[in-house]
Amino acid sequence: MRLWFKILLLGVAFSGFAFADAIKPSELSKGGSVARDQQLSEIRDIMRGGRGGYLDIGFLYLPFRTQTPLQTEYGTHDGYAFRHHAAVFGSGEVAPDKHLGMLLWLERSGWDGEDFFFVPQYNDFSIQRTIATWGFSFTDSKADWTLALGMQHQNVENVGKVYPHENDSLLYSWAHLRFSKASAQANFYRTDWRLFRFSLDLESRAVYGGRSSGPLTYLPNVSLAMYNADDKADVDSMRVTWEQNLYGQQLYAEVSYDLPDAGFHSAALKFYPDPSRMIGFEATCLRRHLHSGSNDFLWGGAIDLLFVRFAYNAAYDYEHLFGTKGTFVAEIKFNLATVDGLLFNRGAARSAPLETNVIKMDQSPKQSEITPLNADKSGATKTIEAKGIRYEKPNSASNGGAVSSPASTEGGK
Amino acid sequence: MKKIYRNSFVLVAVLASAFSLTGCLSHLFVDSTTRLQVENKTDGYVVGFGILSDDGSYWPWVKDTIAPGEKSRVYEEDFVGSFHLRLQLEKGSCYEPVAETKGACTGDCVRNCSVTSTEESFSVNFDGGSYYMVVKEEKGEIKLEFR
Repeated sequence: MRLWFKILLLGVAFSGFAFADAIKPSELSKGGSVARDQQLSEIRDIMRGGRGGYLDIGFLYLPFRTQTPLQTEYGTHDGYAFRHHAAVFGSGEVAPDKHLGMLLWLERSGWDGEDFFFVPQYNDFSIQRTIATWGFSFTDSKADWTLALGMQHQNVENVGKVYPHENDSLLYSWAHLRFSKASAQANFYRTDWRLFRFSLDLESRAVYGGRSSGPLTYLPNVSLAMYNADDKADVDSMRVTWEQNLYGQQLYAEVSYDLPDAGFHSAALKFYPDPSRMIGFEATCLRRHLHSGSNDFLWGGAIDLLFVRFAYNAAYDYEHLFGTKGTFVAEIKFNLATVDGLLFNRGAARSAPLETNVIKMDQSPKQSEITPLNADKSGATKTIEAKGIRYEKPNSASNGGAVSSPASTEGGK
Repeated sequence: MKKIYRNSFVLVAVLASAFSLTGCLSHLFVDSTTRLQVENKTDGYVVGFGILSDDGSYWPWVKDTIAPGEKSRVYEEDFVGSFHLRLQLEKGSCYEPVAETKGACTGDCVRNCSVTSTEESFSVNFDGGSYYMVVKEEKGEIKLEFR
């Protein structure tokens, strides 16, 4: 039995890179706009509350350089696709119900012949790109609206000879406006728009003061994103994403469609054992090679264990790791959002049970170590054992010789 | 107690082996560039040696003309993976030493000679590191041998 398990494990490890498909330079050159879009959609999720704090860190671990080879016109190059990201958001209450916050989202991604974190190889076929999004937010939690504004920097450190030219310092501006459950985002390069996203997060979320169960939690979260890749004002592509709670904010379906002509893009079924989304399991399906004609479905899945995420052909990794296919992706990661002392992962509807349960246990009278003497209605006398120094007033010991003041019985004080 | 010690040892070993598979340590035994030296054991001249791309463009690698029996210098490139090599070999009387001309050669000095050029392409896998490659001719066929 153990031998079979070992063989299975070896097989899984082997298949992790043996069937890996190569990445194309065209996917890597699109990486900047994909990352900027992802950062703004994460900001949308965090700005649902617009207050509290958020921390995110992620580091991809791909041990073998045959896992993410690069396919150029010269051949297949061995190397590493990489993606590291970090984000922080913090806010403070500057006046009653008025919160001022600051956001910073960072990502460094690309492809290189070596996977050094600080000293890349910068070879003839590598590309390294940094995307930083920062801004300020203002939230009125009583009127329930948020305004966030900021800039986005996209900088390439090195562009190899097989990629199209890219300016090494691109500066974008962005804005996010939320009113209750509706929000709108805009992203501009100089005076040309790049992205508009309209979101309706109708699902009732307990972390933002909504319901924790009931029909209101089954309302969908819908968003429409419009993209413009060039300097013309027209819409180049649109994507509609529908996120639907299927069971108790633990099971979700997410479907995205490309408009107007492309149709189905991807679908995911996500299961979170706890609604705080600290741990998640997902199965995904993505339609790829839409425009080349050889259109097929990529099936995959991922397991998210709070500090580490394993994925194989998952839609998220296909889109955010330059079309990586046929290889196991491990990400060392952590993210935590907080609102009013409640802790949860980004996008979650309910908080982690950690803190609230402790408070409830303290408040329940059965668990309390200190029982007031008058609590027993039968009138029988009670003795309390306490270690330490006991202070007794001489004239108050009239109640059957026991101690009258609960304050004087705090053990060990 | 002994079991705890053993378990923590296994954990440390697993973490160490995982860490060793990152670029930090793997570059100690895995090279991310390829250094190539070519020896010509044919009776022709190797005049071009490089990577041929799918779109027909050519990336010269060994930029020397290698005479029969000679070696090239060492050239380092970022080609790690599998590629198509193109080898250009030239033979002919033009490579033969010029016979002593009688009398002074003034004005247009035309030398009648001929060159036959052959091109061979190979599919080669480079894992990085140093490669010593010998170009051979066996039964009229050009072969590459790595040493």
